[in-house]
Amino acid sequence: MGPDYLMEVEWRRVLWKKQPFPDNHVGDSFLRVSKKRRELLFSETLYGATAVTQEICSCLGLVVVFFGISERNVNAAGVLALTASLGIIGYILTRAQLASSAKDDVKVACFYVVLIACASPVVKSLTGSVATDSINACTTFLLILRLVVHDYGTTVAIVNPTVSHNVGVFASVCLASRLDSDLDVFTLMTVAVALFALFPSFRRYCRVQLGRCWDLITTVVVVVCTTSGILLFAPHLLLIFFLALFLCNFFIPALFIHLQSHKQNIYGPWDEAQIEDR
Amino acid sequence: MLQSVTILQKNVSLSEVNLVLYDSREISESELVGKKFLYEEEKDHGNDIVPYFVHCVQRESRDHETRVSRTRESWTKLLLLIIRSFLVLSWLPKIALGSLHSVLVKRFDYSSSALQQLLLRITQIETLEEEVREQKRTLLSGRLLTMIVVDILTGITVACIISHYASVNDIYTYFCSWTKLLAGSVERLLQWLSGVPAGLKLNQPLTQALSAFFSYHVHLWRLYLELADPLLRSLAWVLVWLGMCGASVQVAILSDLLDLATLHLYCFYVYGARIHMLQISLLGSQWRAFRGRKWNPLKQRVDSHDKGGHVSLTRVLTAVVFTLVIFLLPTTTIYYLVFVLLRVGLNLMRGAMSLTVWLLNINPLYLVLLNLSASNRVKGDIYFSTVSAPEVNKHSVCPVAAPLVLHLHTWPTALSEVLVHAHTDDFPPKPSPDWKLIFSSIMFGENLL
Repeated sequence: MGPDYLMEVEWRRVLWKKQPFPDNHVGDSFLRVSKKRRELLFSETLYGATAVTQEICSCLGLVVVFFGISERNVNAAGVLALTASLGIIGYILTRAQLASSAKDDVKVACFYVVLIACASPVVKSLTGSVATDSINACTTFLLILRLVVHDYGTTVAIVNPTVSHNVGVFASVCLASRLDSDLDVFTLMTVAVALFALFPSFRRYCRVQLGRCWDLITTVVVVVCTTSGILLFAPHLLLIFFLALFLCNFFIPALFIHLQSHKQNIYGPWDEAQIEDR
Repeated sequence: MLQSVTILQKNVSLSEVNLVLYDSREISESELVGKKFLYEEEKDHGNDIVPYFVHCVQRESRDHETRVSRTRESWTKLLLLIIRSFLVLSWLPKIALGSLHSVLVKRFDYSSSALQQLLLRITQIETLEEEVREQKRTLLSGRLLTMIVVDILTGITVACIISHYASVNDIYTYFCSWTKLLAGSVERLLQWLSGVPAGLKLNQPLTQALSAFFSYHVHLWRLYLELADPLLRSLAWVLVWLGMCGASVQVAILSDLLDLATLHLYCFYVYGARIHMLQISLLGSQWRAFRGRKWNPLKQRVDSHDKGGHVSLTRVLTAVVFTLVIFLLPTTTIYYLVFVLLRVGLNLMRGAMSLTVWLLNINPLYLVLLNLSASNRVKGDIYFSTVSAPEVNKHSVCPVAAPLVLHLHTWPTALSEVLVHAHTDDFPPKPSPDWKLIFSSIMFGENLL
């Protein structure tokens, strides 16, 4: 026994093993406990950013539909028919995945329709006394809030799917109250429900079931649709749209990867317990 | 001068003797002295002989007072006769009024102050009868008698003054026109609310619907007044004659008439309060549900709650209901505020009137007059003052034992204590409003004012 023996046995950073070192011995592996940072690829971050892109597109899609209907460029009945058919197609596609029975789904759909139809006349005159600027500012803020708290698949404290859904409906009511006829209001609110409640679950299904490349294709399709909608109905939003896309898809991921080098998290076996607050 | 004192054939040294000079009338007439220095038969008052002394004096004076003055006895008998006949006459009305009062309280949750006052007056006269029957002149009986007499005299005076200026028909017509004026101003108020009140921009369809609803109510109220006209006219005669029973009954009748005339405002207030309560509770629960939380009544705290998946009925309902309530909040709040203010104003007037009735009921005039005239009956305190005996100095060749000479004086008790003493359960408690309840019922609309 001697210093040679000490050199042979490597010091491990565990407390349950009896090691032939003194208690205050600090070995080499003391700080190298776990990954300080993950090595991220740029493509991975880009892929992760597609979820946000799709969400931005659906928010802007709502605004585009609103502009289209209020400027009388589109027929409300046509939009309604399109939304209904898209919804039915999506439902058939994801049918196998859903846990609830067909009867329950039909019941939920009927309830939606009845509720929004009953609320339409009330919503029509809801913000008669509020100025247009206030409505615009309110809607912008609410949609940004929706983007911030939406559930993109990660478990972070700020995510609150209930708030994001409800804020989306609130924003759509704000917008819909500016329209003139009952059918217009009904159409806009149905589009909002389809975009904010049904579309995210469809996207989740795509991401989980169909794999990456279908997801990317869906993203491209959505972006193209939104761009064409903006060009047709709300040209003044084009700049904002491209700015948002650029920020979301290129700037933020690049910043993220650049800042990874400054990350200093140390994970060890004796960290405090994290209590899940869900 | 005192030479010697013997007790039970034994000479007592003069220095141990206390001589007390007192006026027996002062002690025997006062009721309060006996109460303050309470003599109990079983206790040994060896160290505290004042109660025993007071008790002996009062017993002595009672034994001597066998010859009561004739006039006083006859007055007492006459008073007792009047009171008894009144009680016999009012036996049937008392039962009728009592049952009417209990029906009103149970069925309609409305306590009419006129009925309360009449029943209270009858119980007070019953208490008076009990007190007078025992042939004592107590402070309480004096107070009750003065209060009733003052009340009736004031009532008759007021009635005479008013009937000098206007007859019953005129008064009734004036009252009718006043209620019609009130209905007209309520309608104008509702029209003002349906437009742009105070520059506030309300939700037009809702405000017009509410204003139409309430105006229809006012229209119904006017119709009701016109239909009930002959009945109310005959009722007015009855009320005027009832008012002869005293000024407090008149004020109570006035308060009841005010309630009756503003019945529609009370209805509006109830509707507004119910809507407001619904709105506030919806707002609270939906705000929590909006954020994904729920009130846990078991643990009395707010918990997180994810309602069954991404597409669920309650989630959409929450979103829509919350939005609607938020946007309709200013309109309903304005209506509720207006009606609450009206109700609070009316309650203030009612409170002022009930305070007047209470003051007339606990009228302490008799006691105040007794206190001011320093009568013997309100003297309840005793103090001793020493009397210096000048003859001791003259004859003192050698120091001789002399008794301690004390003079007993009585002192009037404080008015508040006298009021507490001359008090029965028939006197109603002071009407004090529960401010916390009032505030919470204005804020949340759960209890009604």
